[in-house]
This record gives sequence, C-alpha cells and structure tokens, in this order.
Amino acid sequence: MYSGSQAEKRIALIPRIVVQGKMGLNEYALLVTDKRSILVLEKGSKSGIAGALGGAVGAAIANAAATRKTFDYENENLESFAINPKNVVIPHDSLELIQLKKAFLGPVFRMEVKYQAPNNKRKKIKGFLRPPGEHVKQKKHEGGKGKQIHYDYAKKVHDVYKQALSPPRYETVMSTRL
Amino acid sequence: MKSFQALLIVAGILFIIGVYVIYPPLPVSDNIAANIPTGNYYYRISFSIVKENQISGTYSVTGGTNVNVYIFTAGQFDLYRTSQATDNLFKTTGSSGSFSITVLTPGTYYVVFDHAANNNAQDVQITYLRDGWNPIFLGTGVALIAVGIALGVLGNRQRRKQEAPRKATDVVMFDQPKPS
Repeated sequence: MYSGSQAEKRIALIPRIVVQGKMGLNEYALLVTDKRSILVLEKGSKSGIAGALGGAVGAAIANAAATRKTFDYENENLESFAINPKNVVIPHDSLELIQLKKAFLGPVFRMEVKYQAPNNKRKKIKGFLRPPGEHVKQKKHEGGKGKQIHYDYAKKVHDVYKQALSPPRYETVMSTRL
Repeated sequence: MKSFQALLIVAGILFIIGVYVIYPPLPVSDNIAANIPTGNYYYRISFSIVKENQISGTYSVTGGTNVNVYIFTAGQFDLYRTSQATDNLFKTTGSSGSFSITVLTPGTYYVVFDHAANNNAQDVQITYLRDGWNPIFLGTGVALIAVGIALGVLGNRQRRKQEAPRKATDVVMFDQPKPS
C-alpha cells in the first residue's frame, strides 16, 4: 500500500466516474494528488444481482435505491480515503496507461487505467466519465449541448493528469483520443 | 433502510409482478402436415400453458377418410396413450373441421389425432394457434404497474430530498482560485 506524506498535494477532484463492478455499477469520485489517484466509492449498487433477478427494471430500481455518500475532499485526511478497502488507490509511479476515448454509444467518454498493483499484479480499471446530473442540467440550462458537456468533462480530466503527472510520465502513460 | 429505498424496492417488485401478470405468452401458431401411420397410432401436439389461454385450429384430412380429434389434459392423455378409457376436454370426428377450447389452469395439454374409420394411414393438414387474454389478469397487471410507477416516482422524489447534495458537480482544481 502506498503511504502518503505531508508533502502530498491535492491536485483535483473529478466528481463522478462510473465503474462496472462485480455486483453492478459503482460511482466513484476520483481524487487526484501529485502522487496518486484515489477512487473514492460514493455509491455502490447491487444492480447486477437485482438485474439477474428482476431484469432491467430490477437493475434500475437497485441503482436508484442505492444511497450516495459525500465527503469533504478538500479537507479530509487523504489516508482516511486510502485505507478504506472500498476505495482504489493508484500510485502514479505504478501507472502504465491512462486512456480517454469516446464510448461507442452516447456522448460519454471512457477512461481506462492500467497500473501495477502492490502485489505486482497488473490491474485495469475501466470507467465512464459521466458528469453529475446536476452539472449536465446546469450546463444545458446555460445552453450547452450534451456532447460538448461530456467532451469538456473528459478534457478537464485530461488536463488534471497533465498537471498531476511529471511531463515525461504524462507523455509515457497518457493516451487520449478526445 | 431509508424510506425511499423501501418505496423503490416495493415499486420495483410491483412493476415486475405487473409485467409478468399482464404479459401474455407469445402466441404460438403452426401449420403441420401430419401423418398417422397404419395401425393403432396417433399424432399429438403438446402445449405448455402457464395462464388462461385458448387453443384453436383447423384440420383437413388430405389422404384418408376421417380422423378423431381430441384435446386432453396431461392426466387424460396418459390414460389415452395406454389405451384406457378417459374423458376429454374436446372431441370431434370428421374429414375436416375445427377445434377450440379455453384452458383455465396451467399445465400441459395435448391435441391428439387418431384413426376414426379404420386403421389405414392418413395424412392430415393441421393449423393451430395458442393465444389468449384474461381481462382479470390484464386489469390486475395494469393496476400493479400503475401503482409500481407511482411508488417509483414518489420514492425518487424522496431520494432527492434525503440524499445529501454533491459538494462538487464539476471537476475541481484545488490550487485554482474559485470562480466568484
């Protein structure tokens, strides 16, 4: 496990990334520091099980019934996020690839992260960069189009990593098709 | 468990039950050129029924004289195929005609064709359809779906009220000055 230090600097918070888990869709917030990225579980759903039992309606209901947790990402101790086994910690030193590309269907962008886990196993996280509903609603209210809103969200994620990673590291791991 | 979760779960259960209740089995129809061989033989079509349903069809002897047409329950068919005396749900005899019954209880049902006049081989053209609606099921299903949707809407409203608002709705850069 990566151990944090006082010098660790918070770079940015990506409020929503949806990752397909074993039991269903999980919503994470992605807290990016200059040393690591922490996927903080905000909403875990058992929609996979419910979907198997009740089809699409069951999955949708289970997803809707799941509660979301919010955290003070600006002030809460980073280690409290890192030690939670529900969260995923990705040290930037272990990053092999960050890929952002548009999903085949819809305006959403996909984010794929490959990294070396502490047990030397290669891990891969595939998620969808879905901006929060409130954000989409607000941007649409301001005249934004769905496609552009999703693109901007993905672009900001890209910019976050440009700032969080050293230039050579950024060149090595970042693969973007925006 | 929070109240909105309970509401949404109940809504989902009612909706799923409603869809199941309202959803009729897909209609099954076919056109068969059947042959009843010489001797003590029969030709059968089986139907697995899960709800009230109608089995109907027509037949026409294309090579032969007359056939008997029966519709049996599974129990009656077991007696029939072992040459024991049995009741039937429907019986007709002729060189052509139609058959139709409404099945009220779930189970397996059989439409059976056998020789009527003699035991010579016969060819029969059969068309059948399994279909049906039940107004009670339909009404109950619609009501369950309506209640499910209403509870779903109510649950979703409560969820919005109870769920803590997000602290950040867009990407936040921590070292950037916040827009005023």
